[in-house]
Amino acid sequence: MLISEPQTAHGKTWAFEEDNQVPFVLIEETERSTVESFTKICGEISILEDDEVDLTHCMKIDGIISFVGDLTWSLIMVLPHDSAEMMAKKFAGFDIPFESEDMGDVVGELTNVLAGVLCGNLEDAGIRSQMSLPTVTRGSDFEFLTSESLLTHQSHFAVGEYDFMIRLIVAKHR
Amino acid sequence: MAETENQLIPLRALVIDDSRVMRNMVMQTLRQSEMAEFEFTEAGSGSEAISKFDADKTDIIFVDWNMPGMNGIEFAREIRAMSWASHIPVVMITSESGSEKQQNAYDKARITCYITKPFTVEDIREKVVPVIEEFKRKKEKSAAPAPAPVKTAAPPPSKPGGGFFTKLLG
Repeated sequence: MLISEPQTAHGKTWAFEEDNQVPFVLIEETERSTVESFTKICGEISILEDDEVDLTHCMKIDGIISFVGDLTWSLIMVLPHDSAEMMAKKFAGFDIPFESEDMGDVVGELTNVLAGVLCGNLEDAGIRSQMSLPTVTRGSDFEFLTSESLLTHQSHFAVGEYDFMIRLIVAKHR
Repeated sequence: MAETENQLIPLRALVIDDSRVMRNMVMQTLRQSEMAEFEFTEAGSGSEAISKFDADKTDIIFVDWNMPGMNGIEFAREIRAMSWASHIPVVMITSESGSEKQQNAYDKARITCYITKPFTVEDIREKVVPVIEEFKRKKEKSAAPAPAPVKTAAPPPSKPGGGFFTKLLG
């Protein structure tokens, strides 16, 4: 039994299945879009199988964007301190200290770039979505609280020795 | 193809983005592209850009799509509604890569062209060179002296009392 009716577009079917997982098409397109957008910025990116890495206690900066449309969900890009400085330098072309105001600017833009590519790829997959402006949170020992009405998934990526996470938080459709 | 330094035309560009880093990146990439001798005016939002905008001092506009308050599309529509400024090229810089959304924006705001983030110097050149070429053609056309009136051969003046009647009466 499905919570929502299955939808098919461009040969892909997506729905919330009984086991309450984030739709596979969303995970697949997010991973593809992350590799697509950040390869252009940083060079080769690998998707790591191990998604159990706990970044709660490390110093990090999160870029957050929400989406509405066929699905209601949020994307959080979690960048540990050193990964953030590496990506900011690759993107902007000059050093940006983690604590600076410009770092918030760049992480917002990086999240925006990923969300834009993802929106385009989802559109090609027949899933309409409209994205919000990015917001940024910085610090350590914080975590986003989720309720039982939300589904979550996280993917783990690496650029050389620098790793980062993409978390998806999806509302169940009724 | 980059022009040599003494051939670069001066170009006054208005760069609008809520991110200071992005504005710097756009300006730096445009300078590196060596397409023109750019002179920049910056604005951090669509509404700030409207207040700073002077059509007589702006040759080209680079605007971000997603901005708080007045976004890039709304800004472009405002500019297109000004009869004295609607000719100014508007280059949209965006992370929105969906073709349908971009087409909608073209239709709604008559955007001249798009640059998708992240961009390189080459990406910018590819999109902006034709816009600058068009700008140069228009400028040359408007600077050229008005063409002299075309001279047409006038018929010889008829002699009073001459010609047909002379022969008839003659």
